[in-house]
Amino acid sequence: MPALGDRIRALLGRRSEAKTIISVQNDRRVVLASILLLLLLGLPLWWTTTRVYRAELPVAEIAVFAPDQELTVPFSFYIDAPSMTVATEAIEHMAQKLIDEQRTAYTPDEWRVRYTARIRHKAAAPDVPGHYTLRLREAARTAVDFDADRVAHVSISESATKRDAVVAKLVADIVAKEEHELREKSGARRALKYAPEYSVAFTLLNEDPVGGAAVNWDIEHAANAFVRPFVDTLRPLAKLAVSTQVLHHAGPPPVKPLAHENGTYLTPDMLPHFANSPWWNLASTDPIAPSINFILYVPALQSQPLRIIDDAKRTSATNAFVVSQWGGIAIANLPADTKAGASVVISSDELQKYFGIFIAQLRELVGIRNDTPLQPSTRVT
Amino acid sequence: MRFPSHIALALCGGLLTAAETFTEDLLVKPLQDGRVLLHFEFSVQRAAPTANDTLHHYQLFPRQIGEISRRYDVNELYLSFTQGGWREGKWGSPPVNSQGIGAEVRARIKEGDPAKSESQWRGLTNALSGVFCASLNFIDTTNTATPRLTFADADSPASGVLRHGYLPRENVCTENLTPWVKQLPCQSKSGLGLLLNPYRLYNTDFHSMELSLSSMKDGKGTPVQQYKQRLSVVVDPGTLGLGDRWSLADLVDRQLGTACPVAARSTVRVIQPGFGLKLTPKPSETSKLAGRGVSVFDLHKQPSVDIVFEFAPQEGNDAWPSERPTISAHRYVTGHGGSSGGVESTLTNRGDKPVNVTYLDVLPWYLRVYSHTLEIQTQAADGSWALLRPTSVAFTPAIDRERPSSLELALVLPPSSRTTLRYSFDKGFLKYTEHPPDANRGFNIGPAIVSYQHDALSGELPLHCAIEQALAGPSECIVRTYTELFLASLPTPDFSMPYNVITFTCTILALFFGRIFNLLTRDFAVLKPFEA
Repeated sequence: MPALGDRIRALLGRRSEAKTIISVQNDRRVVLASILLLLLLGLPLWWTTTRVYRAELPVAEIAVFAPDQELTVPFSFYIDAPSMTVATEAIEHMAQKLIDEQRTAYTPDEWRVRYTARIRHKAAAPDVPGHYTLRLREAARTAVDFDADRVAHVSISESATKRDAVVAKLVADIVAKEEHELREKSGARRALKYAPEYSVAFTLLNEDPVGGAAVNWDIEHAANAFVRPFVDTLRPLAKLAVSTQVLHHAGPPPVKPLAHENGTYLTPDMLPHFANSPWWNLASTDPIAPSINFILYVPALQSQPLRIIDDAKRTSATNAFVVSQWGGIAIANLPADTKAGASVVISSDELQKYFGIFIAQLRELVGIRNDTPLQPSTRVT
Repeated sequence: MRFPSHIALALCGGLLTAAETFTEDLLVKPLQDGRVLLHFEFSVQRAAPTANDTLHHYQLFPRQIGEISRRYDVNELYLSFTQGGWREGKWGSPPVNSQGIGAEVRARIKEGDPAKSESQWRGLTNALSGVFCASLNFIDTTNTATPRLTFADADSPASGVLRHGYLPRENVCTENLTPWVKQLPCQSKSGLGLLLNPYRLYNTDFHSMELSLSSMKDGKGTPVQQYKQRLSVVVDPGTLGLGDRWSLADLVDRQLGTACPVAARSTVRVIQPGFGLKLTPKPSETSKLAGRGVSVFDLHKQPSVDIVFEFAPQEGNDAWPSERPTISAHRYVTGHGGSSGGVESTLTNRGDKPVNVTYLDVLPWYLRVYSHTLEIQTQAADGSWALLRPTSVAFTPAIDRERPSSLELALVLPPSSRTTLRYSFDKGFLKYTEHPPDANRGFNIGPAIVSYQHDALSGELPLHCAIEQALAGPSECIVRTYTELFLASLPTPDFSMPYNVITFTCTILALFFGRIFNLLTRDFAVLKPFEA
């Protein structure tokens, strides 16, 4: 084999001298150098050829879509001033200046939203609801009274010149407060994320009809009377597909209510686990629409009356609670004289109370806010 | 908090019974070889929903099934899970019409655009798969057939295409029972649901769990929807260690309690066998079913009843009349090797009248059927063979990886005859990723279905029709017999080849590279010690 080695070396043009002494140091250096060279070239080659491909986010292309200017959201205010003349453009200009002054600077990666105030005369108000009306009148004292239907009665005692400033400041305070609340990062939300369609299910859940009463409800009348108007009003915004069911013998909840001298009670830390029973068949088969569940819970006769007690040891007035991003539960205790084995039907009138609670909970879960910008806390100087 | 007094305290009525009714029944039938058939039947009937309801109300009818049938435009649905074969020689006629092993889904989707109804079918199988924790989402176009003759019941709506999907390799277990039980109004907490003990129900020779939704017209002609959940098991008291005297609680390891409070009827019916059977306590009433006496225990009147069965020792089998059904069907695979094979079906007509049957056989696309090799021969009672021509043939050839081949025949079976049906197929070669994990086991091939209408004049009613008559009223009796499955072992590629290639290449490379490197760089020289 040395002969073959020599021949190959001759082919490669190396001097074929018979080595009698080998320089150990030199060869050592050569070997070390070749190992180092292998690592230097080989490791990066291996790394680049076996690395998982990660696509870079094309930040420059995304930045093209970022709006140069802020998203402008107008708040429309319609002024109803039968007894005085009002210069709406001047008020609008003043209000906008005040709002812009109160705005804090935008952080670099924040979506820039700018609320503006639009002030017009009442005559220009459209028919659809959703606008704010300011009714101005002369009075001795300056005051603001908030009424239903987004109407504020503003009594102004100032002279004509300062009147505009008063109205402008009122409008600016309202709009700036809204914008500030929007830009503040909020924590865990109660409402579900917006979806064009929700699947809402109302369930009458009876824990134990054998030891207690078999319960049913007059749901057709109640749903038509109380739920349908809300669903129809919300139709332009989101579609609610409503279905109802009765779970006749659903079994106990995962948390056992605590005993009391006059019935049983639930504490707030027990509430998150209340609806978590595997036997309560509440799952929705809708593949896309998020589901909202409302349970009217009839406890077993030995647990009745079941109440909810809050942290301050006070009994809840409505005996109902909301589970964030899931739904709501209301507890219906049967009359004290119900015997075991009876058959109870909850009438439409009694369901009105419960559906009032459910609709309020549904408003919260869909994201309708109960606090309007026209808060009594808005002070007018 | 106190209620105002205008809450209606109605007794068993008011608005409860107006729209929906729920009944539950359990049939117990001791069988010839000592086993016991338990057949649970839960049924809900409600007025058919109108199309433009925006608010949907469910009281006894399960909401999930109602939503699924509404969303996918289904007006007829049938789903069944079966394990174990029904031995008709020993047990007589089966209590349910589907004894095919595996999972079967059948639905009639309303008439419409074919692409849309295809996506409705896919949506339906996926939704059922989610509700029942079963892998029904594997039902796609490759195992769905559209039979035209076999499932054409007289009172089913004519509009809409009937699709039949079959999964022969589907296993049934407690995971499927739990959601099935959750659809019942009282679940497993009162009524007959209390007896549904999965430990005993799955430790059986035959287990069939089904769900069916159908539209029909009731006595007054109004359209109603009938929803049924049926569970049939054949339990062996011998393997449980019970002797000649045992109670129902011993058999299922669960006690009966009160009836379901919303059930209109809740009964346990024991069908008296030919020989002596003593029941304690006394039943509420007795009636007849399929020519045998039935002891009925009404759970509303006798709650928490514990029925004790006492069997008198049997002298012989003379007391048992033959309960075999009129038509039996068996199917076998023939041939050997990996390239071709054949199917042979035997249909036996024990009656003394000719019977019109339809035969449906669906084979997957990788068994390429040669329809010209179909040969049907009949052997009459005197032993002579004759060729039998089918009245009509509907053959749909397969398209590779798209649809199975489906053979539907309408035959007239002569009286007291044995008919043999044969045809050949070639085995296709699958891509190596299409083989299942245990490739050499082969593929389960779904059963053939033989369907006929039971003539009222010829002999006793089959058990499932007798049950239907006793519980719901007379209706026409359609019997379906499912054959056995067979295993088609397809030629498999050598799955170890990629491994072989890698090992071989790497070995060569290592040896070759090492050798040449050594030749190029290694040199031999005389070592001299260093100068000090």
